Amino acid sequence: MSVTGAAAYKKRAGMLSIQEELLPPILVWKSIDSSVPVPVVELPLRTLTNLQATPVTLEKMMLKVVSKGPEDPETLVTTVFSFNHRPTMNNIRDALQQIISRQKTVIQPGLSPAPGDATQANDAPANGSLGTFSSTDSLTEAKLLRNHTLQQKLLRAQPALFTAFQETVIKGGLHPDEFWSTRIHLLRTFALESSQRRGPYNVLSTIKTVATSDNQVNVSISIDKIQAIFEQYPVVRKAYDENVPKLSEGEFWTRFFCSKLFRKLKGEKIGVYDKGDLILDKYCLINLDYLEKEDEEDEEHIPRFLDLEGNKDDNSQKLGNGPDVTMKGDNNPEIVLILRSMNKLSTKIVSNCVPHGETFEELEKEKEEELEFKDLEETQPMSYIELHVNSQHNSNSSKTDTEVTIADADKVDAGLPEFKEKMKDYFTTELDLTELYSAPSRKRSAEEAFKDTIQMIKANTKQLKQTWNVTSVESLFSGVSVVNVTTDIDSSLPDADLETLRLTQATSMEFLKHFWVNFTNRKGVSAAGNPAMVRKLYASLKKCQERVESSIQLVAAQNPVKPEPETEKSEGEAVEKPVDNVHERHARDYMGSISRSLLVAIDSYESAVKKVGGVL
Amino acid sequence: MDAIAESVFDNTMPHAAVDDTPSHLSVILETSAAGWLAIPQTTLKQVSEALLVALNAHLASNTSNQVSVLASGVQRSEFLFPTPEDTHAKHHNGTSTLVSSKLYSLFRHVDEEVLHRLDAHIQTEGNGCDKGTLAGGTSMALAYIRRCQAETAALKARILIISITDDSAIPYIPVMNCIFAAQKMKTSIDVCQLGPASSFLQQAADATGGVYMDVKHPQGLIQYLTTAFFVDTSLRPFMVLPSQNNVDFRASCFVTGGVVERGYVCGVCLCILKDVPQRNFCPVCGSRFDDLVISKLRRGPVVTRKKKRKTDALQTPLTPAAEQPEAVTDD
Ligand SMILES: [Zn+2]
Repeated sequence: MSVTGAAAYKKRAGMLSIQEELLPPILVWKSIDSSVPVPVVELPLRTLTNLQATPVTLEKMMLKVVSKGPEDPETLVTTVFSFNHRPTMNNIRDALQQIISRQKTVIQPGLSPAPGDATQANDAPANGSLGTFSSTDSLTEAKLLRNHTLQQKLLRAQPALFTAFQETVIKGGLHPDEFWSTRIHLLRTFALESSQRRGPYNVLSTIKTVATSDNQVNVSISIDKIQAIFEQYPVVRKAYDENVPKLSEGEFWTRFFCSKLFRKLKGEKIGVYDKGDLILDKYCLINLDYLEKEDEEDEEHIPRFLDLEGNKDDNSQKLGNGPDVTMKGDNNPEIVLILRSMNKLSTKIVSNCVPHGETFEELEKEKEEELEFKDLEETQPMSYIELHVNSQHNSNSSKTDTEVTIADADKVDAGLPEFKEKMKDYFTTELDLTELYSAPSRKRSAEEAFKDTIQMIKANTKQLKQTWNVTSVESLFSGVSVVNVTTDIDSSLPDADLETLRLTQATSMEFLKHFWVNFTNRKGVSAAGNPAMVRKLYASLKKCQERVESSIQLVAAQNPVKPEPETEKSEGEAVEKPVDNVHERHARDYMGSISRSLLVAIDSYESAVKKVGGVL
Repeated sequence: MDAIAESVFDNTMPHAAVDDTPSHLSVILETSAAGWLAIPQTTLKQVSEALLVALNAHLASNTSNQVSVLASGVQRSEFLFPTPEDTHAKHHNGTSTLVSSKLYSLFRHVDEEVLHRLDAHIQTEGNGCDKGTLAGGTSMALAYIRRCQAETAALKARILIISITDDSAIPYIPVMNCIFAAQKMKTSIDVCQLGPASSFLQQAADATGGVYMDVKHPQGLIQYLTTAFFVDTSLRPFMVLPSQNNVDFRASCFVTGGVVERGYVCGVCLCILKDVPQRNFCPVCGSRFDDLVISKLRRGPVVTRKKKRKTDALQTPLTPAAEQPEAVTDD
């Protein structure tokens, strides 16, 4: 139905009508009196740009329509119609307003989604440069090392890794390939992870239309969503195919989201007075089932297998329409429609989820295989590799110390038989347990033992005061310790300083790893390896040493010593007075193992170079 | 080590003012004659006396407390207490009493049993392997504790090893397995070391929240047993223990026994080796290594050579590769 109403143009009475069915759609004014030679006014709806109506407070009822000139789109033409019945004018005004707002909503041809659109970000890698990893081919080490896009993405996704990358590659001069070569597994996992795609979902329910103040409808819709809509709703594809050259892309979608068709497909209730869309609503009448049948026709199959174990109670057809709520007569037809469209959608989505490549025939074949006789086939016995752990292998272990050990054969063996006899006489007479404390020698020894124990406890207490957190975390039942247990280590240093030390440690570790890999030539194909690289890494290790030292100094400088109360002195024990900065000492302790590791690596390199007569 | 053993200990411990849950003390006493001969400062007899008093003290501190005692000799490990009913009866028919008849009957029962069985153990002990049976004894103790815990819910347990031998007499893999089992069972292993210091046992105590002490005054052993080693497991988080804090966590080479700074790990049995094995198979489990991999490992270090390029490549001695430098050197 087109909107029409009586309106005067240039003081002549006539009929104004909006003819949307025509191509192109137009706004037409015709004089009533056909005898008067007044030219027909035709304004293509697509050229309308603005609309102005006299306010309700005024007597006059006029509607000013601004449109682009027929020859030159730059010049604007104003056409004024006057009315004598306000509802008629309002009706026409509203209709035109909607049309104009549709023109304004133009979907950008690129349809690039707003940045930060989560679903889009997830979908992107599937068709982006990462490619789909359907074959394991692209996961080879060489290919992963060349895939810089992937590496950048991984760095962006993992801040900790990025920090390491920054420290070692950007600042430390390590070659990126070296950096990644020890992290191939991370790249591989990430590549697989990011190539995961989202399965089908109810796409229409994710589309939200937002009406703005000037009656404009804002919809953000991405290419993927359009594709999903076409896939799920063939009727929309049909409508698109038939209308889009006529309508602009943007107009089509704006119309669609305002249409009853959209609401119907979405499963919303449609009121009688709801405004729809003239062009698209007619697609509501098309038999959706028929349309979808067309698509599925070649997928119709008759199962070749009958479940013989099933009985008549399993035959759902015998139940009639009873269990189907949509087939009950007393249901509200609106609700039934909604239910049906939802059911259809669900069925469609589920049927799309059948594992890719598994056709009906293959499923049948699986069933056939199930029926085959298998009990006569030979079974493969499980085979395990038996491990013969030889725990006596270090019986000839070299003794380094001069302490008496049982293996010091000569010494021990001499008195052993005699000693054994003596042991056999140990428990022939009654023991006097009271002697433990009454015998003077043992009593004295017990006192010494007491002192010994106390001294160790004291030493531990001093240490624990500072490292209580560590010990309590590591000790048996940490949860009940009375102090606040943190997962961090000794808190005598501020977190920022600990972080500095950690970063230095991690960076050094990274260089050490690469040094050893290259130095021992574990990966290299040639026996000569890459001496230049090793040399460079050696220089980096030297630099690491400097960095470790400077980070310790930094921590020391930032944490000046507080004078410690010297309570221990009164006991007259030889307590080493801390002359150095206690924080520096801690920092040095923390970095102790990395310093040693660096030293060992540097020593190994230097001695190896000396051995071949090279120069450092 | 904590990283290997999953979920070492959780944080659920009853925090009651009065803790009435019974406690099980399992003592493993090393009996190797050679070991005792090497410690002239004390004798097995004296240590047994101190041990009995400590056991009695443990039994006295809670009526539901339990004890078990194992002897770990050179040939075998066996239970001294408790023992099957029949041996128990046999001893009581015998005339000899080894502890004063005036002793409280529960203590006397335990003490007599321990001493008689210990005597029998010594009488029958022959010559064994030089690896000792400590790992076996610990396994037996853990199994027994497990059984007791199945019978008595919420039974706390700890193991006390009275050790007289050093690392050379301890098989690494079985002891490590015991440590992991003990961690899972939340059973701490205390080590009372009368012999030379043992870093394996030190690790065992550290990993299970136990106390490790090198006993400097063996004559006063009773003092150690009733103080340092007497702290109940539930009290340990609140107390400063006399345990050694600087534990050497570095692993030992399975072949040479030396401490490994950078080493190799067998991919099959995870044994740690200081050097590339001479022949191309694992000295511990016998798995054959890939010749190519081994030959790569045998390559000399990569350095810039000024004059000769290839000639001395074969003469350059092996430089140990850091298969996992961070795992081995990080302590
Ligand atoms: Zn192996």
